[in-house]
Amino acid sequence: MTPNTPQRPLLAMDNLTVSFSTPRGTVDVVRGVSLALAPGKALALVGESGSGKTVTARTLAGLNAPNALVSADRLEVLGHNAARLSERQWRRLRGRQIGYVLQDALVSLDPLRTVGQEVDEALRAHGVHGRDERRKRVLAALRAAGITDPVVRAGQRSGELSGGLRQRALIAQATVLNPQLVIADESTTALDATVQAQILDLLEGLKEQGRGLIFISHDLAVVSRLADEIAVMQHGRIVESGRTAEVLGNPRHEYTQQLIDAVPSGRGRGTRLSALPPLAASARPARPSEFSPDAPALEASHLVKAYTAPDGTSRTVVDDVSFTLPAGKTLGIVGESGSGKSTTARIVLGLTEPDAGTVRLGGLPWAGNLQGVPVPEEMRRPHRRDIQLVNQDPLSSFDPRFSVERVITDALAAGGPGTPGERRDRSAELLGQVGLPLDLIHRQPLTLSGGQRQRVAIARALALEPRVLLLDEPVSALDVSIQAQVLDLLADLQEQLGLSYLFISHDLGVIHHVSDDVLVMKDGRVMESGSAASLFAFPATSYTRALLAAVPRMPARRPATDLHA
Amino acid sequence: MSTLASPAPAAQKPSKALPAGSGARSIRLVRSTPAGVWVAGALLLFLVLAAVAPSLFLRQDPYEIDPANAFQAPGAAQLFGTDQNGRDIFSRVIAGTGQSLLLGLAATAIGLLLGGALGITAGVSGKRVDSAICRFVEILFAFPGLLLALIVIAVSGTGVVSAAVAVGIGSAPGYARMLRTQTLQVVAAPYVETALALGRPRSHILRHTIIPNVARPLFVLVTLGIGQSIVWASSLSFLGLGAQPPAAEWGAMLADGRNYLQIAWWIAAFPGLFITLAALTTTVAGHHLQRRLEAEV
Repeated sequence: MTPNTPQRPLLAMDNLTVSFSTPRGTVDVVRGVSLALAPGKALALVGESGSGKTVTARTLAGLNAPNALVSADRLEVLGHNAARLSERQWRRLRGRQIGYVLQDALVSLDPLRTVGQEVDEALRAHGVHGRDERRKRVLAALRAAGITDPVVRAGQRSGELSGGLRQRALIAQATVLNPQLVIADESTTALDATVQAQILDLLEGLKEQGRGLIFISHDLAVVSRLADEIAVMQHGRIVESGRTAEVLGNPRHEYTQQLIDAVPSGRGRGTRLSALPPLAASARPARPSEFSPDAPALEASHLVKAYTAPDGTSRTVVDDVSFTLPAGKTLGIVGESGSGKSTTARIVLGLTEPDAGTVRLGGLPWAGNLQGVPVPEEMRRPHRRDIQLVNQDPLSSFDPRFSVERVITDALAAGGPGTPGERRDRSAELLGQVGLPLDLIHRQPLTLSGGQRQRVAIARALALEPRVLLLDEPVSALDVSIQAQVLDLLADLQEQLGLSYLFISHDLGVIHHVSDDVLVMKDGRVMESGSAASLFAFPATSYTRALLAAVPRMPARRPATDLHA
Repeated sequence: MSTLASPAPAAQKPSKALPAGSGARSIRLVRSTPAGVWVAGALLLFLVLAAVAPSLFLRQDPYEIDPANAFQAPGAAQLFGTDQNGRDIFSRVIAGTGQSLLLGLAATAIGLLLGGALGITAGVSGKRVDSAICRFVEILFAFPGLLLALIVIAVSGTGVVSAAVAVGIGSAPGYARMLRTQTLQVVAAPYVETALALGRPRSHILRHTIIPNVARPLFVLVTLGIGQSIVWASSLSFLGLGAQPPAAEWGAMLADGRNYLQIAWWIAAFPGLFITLAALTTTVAGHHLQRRLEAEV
């Protein structure tokens, strides 16, 4: 404690242990965690999924599952002994004095109720009377949460709102009663960079009003802006904690260092993000190519796609998009949700017919118009193996009946004849290539972690020995530390197999790290394109500059970590 | 203020156990099969055994007439009593199990086949075929299932086979609608797109990816459907449109016994009890399977 803290701490916790009793015995999730927080300060809990950070935070709001066993030497929340609080007392604290901003904005709001009703609920639960009074406070809370037209938004349901607005509504709900302690659990994960920056500003504002803020994230770069103190959690323990500048500038624990290294922003191509050793070279001879040697791997010219909305209006989602992906290189396409990058991906894969424009794969006509007629699927089919897809949610791309081995052998079978034995051998080889242990081969994908699933998806994409991989947000659902491993793996594979990557992401930091060339998309149009080096150094449009400014960055520690360097 | 690094586990003091945040209770979540499901399972096993090997339980010929012993109340000699012709009701109920269950199964299979053909075709086809099938199914839906079955019987005549077909057709619209929705979900799944990207032809994807995944939750539908089909088939027999007396079929026996309800309740009661049991046990088992499947996903 600093000597001149006049206020009572919001939180004092010593040696917290939380375990869950399950049919298979007791599982310790939090093991001896100690934390403290003063008003007007922000504390970040950082760590990968399963490190116990959410359980710790939920304990502070009395929100643990009934099968949780909580013990601590001291557990004081807002001056109350949390150990002695009954459910009734917790209910009085929650909302009024503790605001908990839930993780998933999409499912945390009732789809059948308007945003206004959702925020109003908190007021009613705490006995605020008078319709007009409540209405006034609801609108004020929405406005304070950065919603510009609160009267309109209060009448809308969660389905009609964007991810950023939903997150703001949740923050309004958590803060409408002016709580002293606000807990935000991964509140900016899955948001576009500019929206994420706005939400972080909003949380910073809460802190400046003198509230205590506990902020949970897996991304050190995100918390570095906001947090006064950081506690790094791993396997239910705090492995390192202290002032933000100290933890980031002089990390003492290996795991903290790993998390710092995993942040891709401002780290150009060729930098390794994870501690994994590079792949051993594979001895497999390359598949003979039908591609003309000097043609680019992929070439799109003047793609256009419009959809007709139910009300009859037409909306152009891809508007005159052209690009070239040279063989063996990576082209990054960056844009926020609704920028048309996913539709572009579907056109490139030959799954959506463009209204105009052509795609050539290895110099051969692939999709779109070919002398006035669309390229037929029958013509594409023999070349489908040359371009394969890895998407954001690998689990949904696996047939739910299949084991890991079936997923890969099934892809191998699509490539032509072979005996089941050969396919099994080859699938084991592929698993090795993506760095997965062989004993996973008979597991169901459902039982694997997110990173392992993505590796299986990459192994499957490699099964047919493609020339081009279309990577559609391949790391967006992963923790930063796992993301680092997958990005390193992709870099190794590209070098070894001479693959060309079309890499789609909303995350400019990731795009900067992986790309040779970059295409910035907005509202279906290409805003800007060029080599990664020049585009990130000298962004030509204000839109790109705004995107760059919003990228969460670590405070400069080494030279040349700044994106503009 | 400071955040203290947590002490090493060895240094942990024994700390006072606190109740979970939600209050003083700590509920142990024991995942087990409810007792009701065990009872239903045992009864279902008994019914299946009686259907497959009635001789295990038969003590008498179910068709043997013994007028001297007519209208015997249930007792030690005749477990379920005897009917107006002195036939042993227990033997007749057991002998009828096979036919009733078979009728239920056959009707469900016919319903699923018809409904599946309509629903899956609608799900994978374009807008025109889809809306044509949907309108057709909606017309069928306008009739209650049993009424639809009665219409079929009116056209095809009475008998066990036409009862099975009739009940099957009666239940087909429901299956068609469920399987269409299921198909639409599977078709939109990313793994179908992945199969396409791997270069699989559409016919291969339909046979090897779409249909197996649509069929996955079917066994739940089947168990739930059998109970309903048994009730419907028995209803047809009760109305004299399915199995004909003196056949030992539950619905026909129920119809037989209703004339004597005031003097010998057991003639109608026991076949009725077995219809109820068959419907209940398959439904309980089906719901349990459904919950298990949903918990898995």
